Amino acid sequence: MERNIPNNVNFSVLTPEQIQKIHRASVTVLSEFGVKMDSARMREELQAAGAQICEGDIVKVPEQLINKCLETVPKGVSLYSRDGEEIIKVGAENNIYFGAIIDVVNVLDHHTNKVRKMYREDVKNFAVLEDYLDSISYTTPAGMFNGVDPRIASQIAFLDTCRYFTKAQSIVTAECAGFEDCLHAAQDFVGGKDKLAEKPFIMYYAEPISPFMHVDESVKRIIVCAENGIPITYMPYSMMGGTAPVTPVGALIQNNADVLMGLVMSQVIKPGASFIYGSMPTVFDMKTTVGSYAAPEFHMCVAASADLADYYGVPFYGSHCLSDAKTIDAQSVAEFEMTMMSTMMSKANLVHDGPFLDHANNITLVGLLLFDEMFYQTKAYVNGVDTSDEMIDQMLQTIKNVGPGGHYLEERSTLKNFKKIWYPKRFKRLMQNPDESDLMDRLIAEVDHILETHVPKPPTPEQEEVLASYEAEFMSRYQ
Amino acid sequence: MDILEMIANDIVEGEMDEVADHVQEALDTGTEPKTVLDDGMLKGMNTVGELFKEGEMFVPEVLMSAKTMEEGMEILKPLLKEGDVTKAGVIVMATVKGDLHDIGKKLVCMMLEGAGFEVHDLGVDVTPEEICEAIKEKSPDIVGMSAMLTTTMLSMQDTASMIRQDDAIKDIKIMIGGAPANPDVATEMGANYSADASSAVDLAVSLVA
Repeated sequence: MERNIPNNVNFSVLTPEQIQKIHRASVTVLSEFGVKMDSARMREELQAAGAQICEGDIVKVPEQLINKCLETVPKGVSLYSRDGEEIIKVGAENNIYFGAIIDVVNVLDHHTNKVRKMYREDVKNFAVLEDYLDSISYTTPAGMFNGVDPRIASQIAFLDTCRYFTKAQSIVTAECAGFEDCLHAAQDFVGGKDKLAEKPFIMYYAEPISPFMHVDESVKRIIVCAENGIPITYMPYSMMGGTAPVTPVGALIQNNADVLMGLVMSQVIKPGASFIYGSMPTVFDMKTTVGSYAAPEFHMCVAASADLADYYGVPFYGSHCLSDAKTIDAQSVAEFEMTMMSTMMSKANLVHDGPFLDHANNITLVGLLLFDEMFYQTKAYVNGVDTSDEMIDQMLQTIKNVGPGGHYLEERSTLKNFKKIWYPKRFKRLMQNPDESDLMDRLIAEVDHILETHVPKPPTPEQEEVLASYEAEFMSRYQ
Repeated sequence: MDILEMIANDIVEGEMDEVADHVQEALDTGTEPKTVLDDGMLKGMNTVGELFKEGEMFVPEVLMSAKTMEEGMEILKPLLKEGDVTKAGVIVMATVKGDLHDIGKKLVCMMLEGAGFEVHDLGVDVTPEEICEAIKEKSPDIVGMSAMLTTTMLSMQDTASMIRQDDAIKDIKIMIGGAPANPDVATEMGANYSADASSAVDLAVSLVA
């Protein structure tokens, strides 16, 4: 089977030798230095599986156990739409899918290009627009919007996403308890725990605290997911020079060791549990102390991490359309493009986050349309060059037909192939461009039009009843 | 779908293999040749023009439609009476002296033909003298000049002055185009500017109106 987005540009950051070196170093960290493990249950499980516990809560994992877990971890992951259709299938073809965000604390108002607080009605707008765009396969309700008690905001964001977004969800919650609320609602939504495990339309996310702190809260998430058949992404966010060594290789060794620790935990709890490799080794900006979302070294290291995940045969959670700028401006669009290009060329499979502005402090509807444009643009780039014998023969014949000084406009091969070339939907290539750009006006109008006209397929009345009853219960908790 | 609609559709879809049969069928069933032309083929070409402007059709498809039109005309031409075909106009086209770039000018020629113009393409690297000569010989409504280089823009200016100084042809309408051309340069040489092939056709139509 061909990859869903053919990638023929042979891009890797790391050579096989470099991958081996980083892998060996990560194994040294885990087996000789150890990591901090808060969870007593996990320490017991790991010890029973062959790990060594020292100084109370430090766990050292022998290479043998790492290798054993790498054998049982699934080499792919499937996710389903809200209505049970397999829409994400990562396996031997190394398919790639893009996700988006439903809510954060602030929203960049698409009419004014100014930041304001995000509210529940914004959640709906993001869900509707993301449902509309074919380039987006899943989204992330995060529960950071305002106006609802933060202890249930993730749950409400999840319920609203079920209402207005028909594809898959990668849930983010502040605490595991919030996820368990969503999990139970999702199980009832599809008709039970087994049905959800068979065709999960949700996945979850956990991260260690860098460096090497596998806190109880994160470990609990791995356990809940393994026991309920829900795929989990384990993704350290570390900052070079702050919470990771300052060099790319140091950060890669550390993050890789922490991800392998997560992988071992998931497989010790349940061999064959679905696991996704995530890694965000970014730059700690020594001028501003910001953990940059758009540093080139960050995205190079994310692509390098995708090479490592590919080496282990585990799906990789990438990042796209990230910026440190607050609004849609020259900086943010340049940073979106770089991150998009890097991830599209890389071996990432599930690409999350974008479009994120102001180092993940705000999101924007207009940014989703820019992402959509860049998605098709970079997809065309990675398609590479078709040098099949059939194509070479066809081209030689065409070149011979036309001869020196001729033109190809009326050649059959032109007519047959010209539509394989990508044409922008929103960017312009006019012979005479207007003196002032009208791109933003057109993007705003397009957002408004989609929000006015696109009606996502609603859940069934029975499913809506499930959502409504959970909503009533969540809302009653903190009144 | 009646037969005239089918012919119009053949033109839009570039169905070169089918248009001749459909034209023949229309004639065999008693449709007047002029009706076949006006309500079948030209109607199709009008649709092509609209779809191209809307961005729904692309250049190679427009050219395929023009070729399909030619196929149909092969059958129709001998049967049309004088006055049945209204020529949109006559135009002499050239890439000016010193310039060997052909594709833009050729594209304009093909689009003009598709719009019903009689086009005399003099080729590339054509001297001012040759262009003036051709104008005298073909008596066109318009002369169109193309240049790709800033240096050959000077040839364009030389040609325009030569035309304007020759009493026999000095009133002819001039169109220019190409990468270094712009409306200001055109005005300076008493010419008309269009930015691309599609607007060149619009300009030509407006100049002969």
